[in-house]
Amino acid sequence: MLSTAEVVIVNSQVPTSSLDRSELRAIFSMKNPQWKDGSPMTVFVYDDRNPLHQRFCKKILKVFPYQLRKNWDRLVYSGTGQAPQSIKNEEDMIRQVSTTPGAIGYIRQGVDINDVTVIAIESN
Amino acid sequence: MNFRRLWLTLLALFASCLKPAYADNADWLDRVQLHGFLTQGYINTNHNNWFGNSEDGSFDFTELGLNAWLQLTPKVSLAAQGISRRAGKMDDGSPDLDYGMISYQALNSTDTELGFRLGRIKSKIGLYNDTRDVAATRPGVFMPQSIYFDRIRNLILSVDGVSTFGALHSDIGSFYLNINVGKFRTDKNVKATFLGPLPTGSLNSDNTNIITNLLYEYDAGRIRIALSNVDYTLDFNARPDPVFSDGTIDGDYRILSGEYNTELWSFTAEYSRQPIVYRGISTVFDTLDGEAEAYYFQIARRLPNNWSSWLRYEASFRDKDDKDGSVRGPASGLEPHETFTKSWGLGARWDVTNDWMVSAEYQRNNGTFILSRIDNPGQIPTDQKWDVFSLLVSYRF
Repeated sequence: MLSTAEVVIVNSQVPTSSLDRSELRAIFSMKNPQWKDGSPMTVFVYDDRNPLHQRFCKKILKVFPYQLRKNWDRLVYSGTGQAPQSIKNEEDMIRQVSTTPGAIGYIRQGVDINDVTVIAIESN
Repeated sequence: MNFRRLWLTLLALFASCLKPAYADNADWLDRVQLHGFLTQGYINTNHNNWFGNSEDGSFDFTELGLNAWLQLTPKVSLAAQGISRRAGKMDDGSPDLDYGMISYQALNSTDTELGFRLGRIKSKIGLYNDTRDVAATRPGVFMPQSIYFDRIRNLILSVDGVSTFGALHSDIGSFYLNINVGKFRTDKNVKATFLGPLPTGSLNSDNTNIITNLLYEYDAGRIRIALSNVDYTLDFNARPDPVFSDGTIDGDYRILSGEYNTELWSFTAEYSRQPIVYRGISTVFDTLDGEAEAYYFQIARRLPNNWSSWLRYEASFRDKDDKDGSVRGPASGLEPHETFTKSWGLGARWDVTNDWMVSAEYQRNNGTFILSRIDNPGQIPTDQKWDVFSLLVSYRF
């Protein structure tokens, strides 16, 4: 049974098992896209208008999708950073996260997963 | 700093960084990320020219940009953006390097960041300046002219020099500090704004202008408060002119900015003061010192189906102690209303898709301080009361 809750997934090689909300916010704002050991991070998201993306922003990150978009635009067009990679659906998300080193993304809870790790979200 | 030399240095750095990092990896080109934007405007005014001959309806506003970004190593990135901008007689669309820089992230932990940049670096001023040419990132159809004057766009656009940036993340929010030092860019618009149409000499920035920007963000941008300071010196070389002599213009542009965002509403206000001191150029200019003052406040509302709308009031005064221009106007050969502008604007935007947007605004203006002398050469004195209708279609990727 698919839940309407979202879970964060990472590539199975990523040496992190939990993240708190402020870390997730920083990651999905693309403020600091690298892992604690300094290895590069690749961030995947869905389209701004995808209901899954909107729920993830509001419930997990507790930001509005337009805030993330503003942050990404500021980075991309001033040369100070990058936007995340945009993904069409959960199937592509799982495939990309499982095959891209350092990847992070999110899917609905209960979607079948192979080769990716679900990250625990610490409350803070 | 000589820009050609700077660019060659950057290329050399690029080559030296590239080789050890990816000598055995030929696919670095695949990792270059490309983005860009294209915007076309239509402008109609009942009086005066705003980006072209707008009294007859003008399409003389086009913005085109393309940028590339490459993460060379986890700590080093390269970024450059080329731009072509048509804006009436102010900008003819010649291709230009908007930014081109190498960034080094020296320190990067969960709580703190520290880094450096070298090259042509965008100026962080207020809340919106560093992406001012990208329509989708502007708070209206055009930048609020009170704070982000297009008359002196090139001066506040970028710095050829060095930058340091730092961040501190804490439970009470994030603090960002950005300091750029270097040469500002001047052009005919900057010269006409500071010196009027008469002097034939050249106006150039010195090499040690400083832009400081301190930004506080709470709750991932729900609240944003910024303090900005632009400390600049322009050197005037009068050479062939019998009336004017060599001199300097010293300015200190200070801005306090605030933004509060909810799911449906955004409230934005920015306030600035700018003392400007003329030295030695001519006895007339020497009497023109004074502190400029400007501000705007805006309420924006996000509506269903990807529409949004905004209402803005803004005002700018060349001299905060002479807001109606009754003293300064005659003293500088201008009409009093050419030393201030007060405006109301009402606009709407529709994000048709994630990439395409359309926006339109109607603005009522009293005063012509924000108008370009270069776009209005045959119309001095300008008409005091003027309305603008503007429409943009914009694409970005």
